[in-house]
Amino acid sequence: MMTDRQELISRLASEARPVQQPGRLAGPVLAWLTSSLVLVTLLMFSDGSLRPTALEQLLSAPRFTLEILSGIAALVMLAICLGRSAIPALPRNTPILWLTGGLLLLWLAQTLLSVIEPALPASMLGKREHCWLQTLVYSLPPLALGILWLRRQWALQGLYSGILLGLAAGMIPTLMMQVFCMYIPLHHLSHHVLPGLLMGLAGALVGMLLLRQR
Amino acid sequence: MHPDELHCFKADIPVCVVRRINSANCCVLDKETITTGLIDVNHSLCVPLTRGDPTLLMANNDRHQQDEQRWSAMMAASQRGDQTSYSALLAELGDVIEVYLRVRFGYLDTLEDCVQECLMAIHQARHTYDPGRAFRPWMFTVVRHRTIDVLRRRQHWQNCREQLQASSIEEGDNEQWLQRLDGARILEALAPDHREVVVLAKYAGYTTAEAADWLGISESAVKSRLRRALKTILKTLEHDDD
Repeated sequence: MMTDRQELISRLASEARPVQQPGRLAGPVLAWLTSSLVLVTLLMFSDGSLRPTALEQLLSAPRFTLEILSGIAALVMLAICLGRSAIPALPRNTPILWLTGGLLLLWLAQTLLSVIEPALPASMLGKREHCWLQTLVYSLPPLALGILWLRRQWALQGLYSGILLGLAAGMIPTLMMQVFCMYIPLHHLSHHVLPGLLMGLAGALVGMLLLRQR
Repeated sequence: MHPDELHCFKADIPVCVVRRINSANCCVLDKETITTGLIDVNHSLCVPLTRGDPTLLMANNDRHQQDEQRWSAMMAASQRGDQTSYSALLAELGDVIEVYLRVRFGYLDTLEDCVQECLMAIHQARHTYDPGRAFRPWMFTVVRHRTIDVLRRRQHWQNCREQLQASSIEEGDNEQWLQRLDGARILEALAPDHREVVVLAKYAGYTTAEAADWLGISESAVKSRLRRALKTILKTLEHDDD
């Protein structure tokens, strides 16, 4: 006579279908980043255009370029940490975490520095109505894509993964607003960066409710 | 530790402590006494075993590596859909997990539930195992987290039960109320939807969320069904009193 455990094992074995092995992390991370960036860019263009002087400013103002590049680097590192958080037994690699935290701080420090000493002359050119709301709303597609991706993995610490996802999702429109919306550092801080960071809280909630595998 | 004492391992998990009696034999503790430590060799639980007996798996790296490679290969085969390998792997892991839990928690009334939950977790997470990495850390991470979940859930259940008992003591007529509810006639008079909510919430001690989860409906639906069911019961009881 079969015991409960034997019955369970034979049932699970009968359900064994070929599964896709996780492979390298770069693929899913790149896929999430690319699809999120494309979606947010489309949304941004659906509601206005790039700030007319943005590209020229990127080429001529090194501090502004550095600010954007450090933001992008922080975003990529956040996405890597996010992918790692959803695979069991991958250790929380301390150097990666330090690098991610460092890049995030560098990006924030540059944003704060711009408030004191702007990297570009402040201008109302490219002003968008309700850009803070746009930042929040445009974070939702990356957040949703991230949930779909992570739920297919096995996130053991929902809160941790959720915070990372929220921050990464919030950073995408935040970074884009730097070239799509007007350049006034304090406005950027309060209307773009702050809502982006607030997405970390939303992510924490999402993580606790949706990401943890039970 | 005495030089003749050895830790006996089974698949990486220290199962018990054994002591060499002579060059050919040693004693091993009964599996149930693992948490009590080493006992006298003359104790009745000590079972003489010949050295080299297959049940006495001494700690050695070769053995670990063999297990590691075998499990990794079996999981890789399972990921390709090989049901035979998968079944054998789960059976092996079931024993390993059982020992792992027993060593850590000693006697646990829900041990078998924990083992089965862990096997299900491994099944659900199997696509995240990368055959290029070590199998053990992956498996034990899944097992550890799932066990914590199971133990938390168990604790939650105990708390719920204690709360229910406390509330029944505080509210003097609650027990009487439950006794009156025991009448199968009253339950039979309820609509099936209402009956199952009453049974789950009042008899089985489920919380609203758990009852909702069980029935596959929202919590607000559970609350509203319960409210309506209790109203019906009250009416029936009032009618009886008249």
